[in-house]
Amino acid sequence: MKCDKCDKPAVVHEVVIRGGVKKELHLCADHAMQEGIAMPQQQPIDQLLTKFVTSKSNEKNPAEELSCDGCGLPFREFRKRGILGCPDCYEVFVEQLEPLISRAQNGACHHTGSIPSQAGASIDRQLIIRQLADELDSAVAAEQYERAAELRDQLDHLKLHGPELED
Amino acid sequence: MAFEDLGTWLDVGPDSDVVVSSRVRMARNMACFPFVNRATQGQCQEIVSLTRQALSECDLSNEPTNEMIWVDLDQASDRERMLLVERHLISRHHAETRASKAVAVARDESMSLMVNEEDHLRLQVLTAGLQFEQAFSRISQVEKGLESTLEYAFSPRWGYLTACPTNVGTGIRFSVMMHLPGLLITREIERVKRSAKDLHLAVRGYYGEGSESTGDLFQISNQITLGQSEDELMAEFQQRIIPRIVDYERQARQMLLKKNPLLLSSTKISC
Repeated sequence: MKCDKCDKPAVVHEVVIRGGVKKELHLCADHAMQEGIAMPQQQPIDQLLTKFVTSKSNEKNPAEELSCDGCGLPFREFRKRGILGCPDCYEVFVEQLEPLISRAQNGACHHTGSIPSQAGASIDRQLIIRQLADELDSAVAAEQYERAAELRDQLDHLKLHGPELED
Repeated sequence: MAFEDLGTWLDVGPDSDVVVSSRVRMARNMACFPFVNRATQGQCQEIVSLTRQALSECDLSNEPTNEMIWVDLDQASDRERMLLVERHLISRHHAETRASKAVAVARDESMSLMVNEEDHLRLQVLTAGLQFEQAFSRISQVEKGLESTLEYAFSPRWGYLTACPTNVGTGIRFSVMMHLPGLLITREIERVKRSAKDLHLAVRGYYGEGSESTGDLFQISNQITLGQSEDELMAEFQQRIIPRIVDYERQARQMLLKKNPLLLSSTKISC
């Protein structure tokens, strides 16, 4: 179910009955915080920061204290079971996941396969930019400077005609 | 449930003296829900109902049987669920729990769509022998059909997002069920397993993950889902990797036939 105020998944569900009128609220973590609704699985940000700092000073892995904003999954639970909780986990745990995925995928860390048709041309363009950037790196490494210049021009052209890469 | 006599994937196909069947499996999740392990019972029910709706609006006119049998697993008997596992239409994991889960099965058993397994959607197509093009084309058509109603979880960087990060990217696995008695008798199978590991392949038993090999049958699947397109992965698997194992098995059978024909007379092997 989506949040009433945005497209993120709703993680707080509340039913309020006032004057005999029932009102349902479905909110994502961000909007629940804005509304001042306490979230059972989440800590206030100041506590989280304190824990982060404390764990750093004790030289523990700060990732162990991370939890996903979208579904509340603690990173330590992912480490135990190897299963993520929601699409947002890929963003929240990106630093921890990158080396894991790269190792499992023979060094690859970018999708080059098909894309959903609903995602439209912007993703398509981003993938082309990513491929061109990889080719440019290879051309420079192989000292093929003419080819590298061509690829750089193509990249500049693509980047000028739309938003930058997301990552 | 009423199926035709036997799944069409048990027919004779290319290289079927060694390759019993080929399978393409595709994992997809809906963008607006947590993955199954973090979803509430209500959300799981909603996922089942949205999938059923999307499937009913899907154009299946190109499909061999043109219709899918829908089974709500929480209402199915133990025997029905066991039958679905035995026929490779659902996984053992999918059959075990009684949460809101479902499966849609083609009447000829060549396709199934598991709902709320590890991912929201696990679509698979099975064909006889070694042949992936037709299976991949069918699975893509149904996936695109569902996509006209459902929004998939996707990231430009990671591709299709899956509950287990080792499936991220294409979300597709190609696998074959191989009959390898020659390599087993000559004990060459261990060498194949070691090479498979280097090639990022998984070698499993008859019922996939966690199962032992039964009747000299092995399931071999690709593990790479990121950094290569679906076509590249399929071509590599079908044209380069599996034919080498097929040749190896045939050589082992020929060698056994010359050296120990009596042994082969008690084993069902076609040379």
